[in-house]
Amino acid sequence: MMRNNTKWLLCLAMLSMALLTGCSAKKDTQKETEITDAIDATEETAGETTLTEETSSVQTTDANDSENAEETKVHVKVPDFEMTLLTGETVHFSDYEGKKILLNFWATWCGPCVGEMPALEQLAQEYSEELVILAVNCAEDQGTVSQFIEKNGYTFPVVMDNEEKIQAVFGGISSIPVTAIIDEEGYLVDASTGAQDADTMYKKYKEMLELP
Amino acid sequence: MVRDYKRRLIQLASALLYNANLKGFANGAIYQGESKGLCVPGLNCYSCPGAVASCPLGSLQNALSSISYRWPMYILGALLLFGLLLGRIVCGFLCPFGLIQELIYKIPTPKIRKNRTTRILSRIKYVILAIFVVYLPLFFGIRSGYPLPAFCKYICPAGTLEGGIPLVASDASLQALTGTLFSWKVCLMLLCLISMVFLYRSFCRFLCPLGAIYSLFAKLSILGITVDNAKCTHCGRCVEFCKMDVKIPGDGECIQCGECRKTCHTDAIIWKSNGILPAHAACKKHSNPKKS
Repeated sequence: MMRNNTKWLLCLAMLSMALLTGCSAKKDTQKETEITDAIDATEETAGETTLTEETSSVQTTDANDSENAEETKVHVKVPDFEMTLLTGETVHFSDYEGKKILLNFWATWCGPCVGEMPALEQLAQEYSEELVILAVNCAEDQGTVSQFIEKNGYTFPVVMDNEEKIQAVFGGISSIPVTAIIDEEGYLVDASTGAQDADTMYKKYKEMLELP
Repeated sequence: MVRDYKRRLIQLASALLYNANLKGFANGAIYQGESKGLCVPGLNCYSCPGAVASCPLGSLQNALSSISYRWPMYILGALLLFGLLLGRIVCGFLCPFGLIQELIYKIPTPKIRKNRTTRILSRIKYVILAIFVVYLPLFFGIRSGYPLPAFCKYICPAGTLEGGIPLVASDASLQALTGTLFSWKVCLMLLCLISMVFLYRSFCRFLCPLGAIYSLFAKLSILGITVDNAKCTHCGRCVEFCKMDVKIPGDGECIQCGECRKTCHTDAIIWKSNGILPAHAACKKHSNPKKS
């Protein structure tokens, strides 16, 4: 009986070995693309800057207590890619050239993402002439996302990224929210990871977008 | 003794199985494969780079936060299944964090034995379950649609040890984002780790909401330790030997490790079996009186 148990445990050990050598991460997060480097660069400087807005209580209880980032000199052309909107239409990223773009990666299960959305809505409404908000949902199903958007009455375009293709364009997104700021010519000029409350993020994004 | 060795082996094997994605530690990334949709029975952080599946507590909190959108069928079903089948066998055999605590306890220092105070402290885990795992995620999820896995966020030292620290250590952009909350989590984790040296399985006994959930199944579970009342003489040796705050083996505080079995002079402590595992009596100490 003891021998049987030992064999069973050995099998378990071998299975573990097999898993060790066989399993590989489905997502390759080797930071290779220029865009990823750019996003990283903006985040890395976030820690060393002085607080530009003293009142922005950095030590709030939101997750990802992010310090305010200085404007970092980043200038990377974003390649064109296809987008499927929540409405079902297929559009291209280049269709939005000529306006500033705030591209935000989010999910309904992500607290800080959900928390900052009122800021995105406010920016969308106030600056509809010069700005487009693209809210890229990370691999959730149509039903969940529609229900969420309808319930909250958000009007900005929501992009579905089920196959994580758009996330891949931006070098693979491992933690959200990530917001990318793209200028009128289609160049990535700034990015930020994490979010605090909507009011803080509204001010922060307005500054990053260089809006009046 | 042989039995203890086997239990350790099973603990190690399950820890390895849950965290088979060792490559994740090298590139500081969370595994994104299909198996992440399932949860393991023990406490193992989803965000651990090695984890190939999810944590049942994390899954529960997130599911409760999204309760307005869908009923948390999967996680409730999974917990029910684990509870009814295994109960706190999960704690004794299938929880990597339990294993870590047992190993840390081996550090040779004077130990704080269980007493009335620790018995009272063991109720805290139910309070943590009620507030951080159930109430807060529900409240914020329903009221403001804000998903809040409060136990994961504010308390769980396993998450800090297995997920928080490895991820932050390998990613400069994450380091820049850490603030008060991260410091709090690290301090709490250190406090827990230090207490584990002096108090056997301190986290399990006082804080773990998953243990609290499984403890509710103590009498119900199909498998596990139980006392044969026909044989029990109520001498109390088993309770004295046990390092958990049990009143009898097999109750809510029992982690079903089975180590008390060797202390019983009448072999009254058995594994519930119903034919699945043989109710193995320990080696008879006295020879059969019929033979001379």
